[in-house]
Parts: sequence; structure tokens; C-alpha cells
Amino acid sequence: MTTTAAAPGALEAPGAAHGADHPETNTGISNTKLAVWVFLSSECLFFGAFISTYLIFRGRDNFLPAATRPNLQPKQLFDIPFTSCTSFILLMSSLTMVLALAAIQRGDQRRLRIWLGATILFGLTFISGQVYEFTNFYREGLHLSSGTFGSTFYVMTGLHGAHVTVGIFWLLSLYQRSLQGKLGADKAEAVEVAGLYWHFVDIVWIVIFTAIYLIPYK
Amino acid sequence: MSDSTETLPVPASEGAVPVLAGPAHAPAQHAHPQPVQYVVIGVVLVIITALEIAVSYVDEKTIGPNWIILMLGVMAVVKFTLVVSWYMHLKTDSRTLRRFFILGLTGALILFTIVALVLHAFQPAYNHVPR
Repeated sequence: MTTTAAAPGALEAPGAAHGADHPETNTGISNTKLAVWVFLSSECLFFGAFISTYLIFRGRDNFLPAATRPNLQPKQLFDIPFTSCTSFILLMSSLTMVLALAAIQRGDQRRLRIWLGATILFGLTFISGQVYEFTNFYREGLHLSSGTFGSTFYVMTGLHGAHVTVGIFWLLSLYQRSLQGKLGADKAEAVEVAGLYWHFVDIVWIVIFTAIYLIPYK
Repeated sequence: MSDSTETLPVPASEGAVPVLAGPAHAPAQHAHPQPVQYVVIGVVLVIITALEIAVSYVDEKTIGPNWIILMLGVMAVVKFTLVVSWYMHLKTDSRTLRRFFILGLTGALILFTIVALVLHAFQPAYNHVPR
């Protein structure tokens, strides 16, 4: 446990916050940051439930009743080069996000806006790619009601897409605050917690991309 | 359990001894990597992703689907760990945060195991569905 038991009469360490932009807490960790990590921990269970369901039903029910082509299998439906590109873009958005954090920690507002803008742009590209992919799949006959494959696929990737969309709105609000001059170096933690969420969305996609698109269907 | 941020309690009777009671914001815990290190990690992630895609195109008959699954699984775990350790700073941040995340991951794995066991998904006949 990370506990700091203050003894009666104990002296406060001068400058105990050591540059931290949050008030003193008895854990030594900012409450906001701790709350975000607890939330991400619960998100592990949330996505874990959907990924588990997908993996357990994977290969058990691959047929697509409404398919436009006969004997259409998921592997034939996927456009791996296209999804690889969108996955690459999401991965790169994690890099730009962390560079935005490094910029605000240095107090470099110009680079903060450049990297935040790039992250938002990459996120929007990923979501656009997902919408395009969903539209194509739907036309090919993969529906939400197309057996366990259709429902597990759309629910899992759709919920991930919803998380990315929430992340984009979060980053847009930070970008706006930066333009208004309300996001100085003392507010670096605001960018850090948004970054934690964004990176989490990225690592979930690392798992989903491998589980759905790359692992061979038997 | 204890870690570097723990400060030992001091009985009131020993209150004459000054103790640093502030949270242990050890500079090392907040020392985030440099931008160049982030870029290096980014390049490594790109290389692993390229390898993953290449492996997914390998003919299953050449090395067998199980080896492909194993290789893809290992590469996904490496990418996952790199992002969590470097970009999410769990490598340098407080151990408490790391424990919370590991708790969530462990919970997800336990959940998967329970559901798989309940549905008998580990049995060889599981995928033979009459149509």
C-alpha cells in the first residue's frame, strides 16, 4: 500500500509537491490520476468481457446468413491492408499524444497544439475508416444479427469506436482550452489523464486487431 | 506490501523527531522519458506491427496455425507492454497505479477463464457445431 502516515507533530517537507500540479494527497498521487487509473482498471474488465465473448464464440459460428457471396467467411470479408493502415494511424496517435504531453511539460504551447491537433486528426481518420469498414461489411451481408460473429464483432469494435469518439471530444476540449490560453504548464496533468485514456483505447485496439483480423480462422 | 513511497509511522511520544510527512514525490517517479525515447518506442511499435501483418499473411500450412497464433500473441503482448510502460508511464509512475492496472487485467483474465469453463470452450468438441 502506498500510505504516508503522518505522525503527530511531523514536519511538512518543504516543497513536498516537487513540481506536481495537484494538492497534497495521502497517497502521494493526484486524485484525478488515481481516479483515471481506477476507471481504466474497470475498463479492462469491460473490454475483457467483450473480447472474451468474441474469443469464446470465434470459429464456432462464422457463417453469414445474409451474405451477398456464397460461403462468405470473415477472413474473406476483411480488408487487412486497409485495417492495418487505420491501426497504424491509431498507434501513431499514441505517439503524437505523448509528444503533446512532453510539450506542455516544457511549457511549449505551439508544439502542444501541433501534437494535440495531429492526435485529433489521427483519431478522426481511424473513426472514418471504421465507418467505411462497417458500411462495406453491412453491404456484404454482415449484420448485427448475423449470428454470434456479427453481433460480437459489431458490439466489440463499435464500443471501441465509441471510446475513440469520446477521446476525440476530450482532446478537442483540451485544444480549445489551449487556444484560450487556459492550458499552461501547470495544467499538464489535464493532458496526462486525457493521454492515459487515449493510450488505453490504443492498447485495447492492439488486442482487438490481433484477435479479430490477424489470427487465422480455422 | 510496501514500496518506495511509504513513510513509517512514528508514535506520538517520539514526535520530537522531525519526520518528513509529505507524500514521497520522489523525482524518479515523475521523471518521464524524453521525446526522443517516445519516438524510438514509436518506431519499435511500427516495426512490430509490420511484422504482425507479415506473419498474418504466412500460409498456415507452412508452419501451422498454432505457431502463427503464438507469434501474433507474443507480438501483441510486447506492443501492449511497450505502450503501457512508456506512453502511460507505468514504468516510472507510482506502483499503486501499476497495481490497479494489473488488478483490472487479472480480473479480465479470470473472467475469460470462468466464461470459457462454463461454456466448455476448452473441450475439443466445442467448435463442432451441427448446422
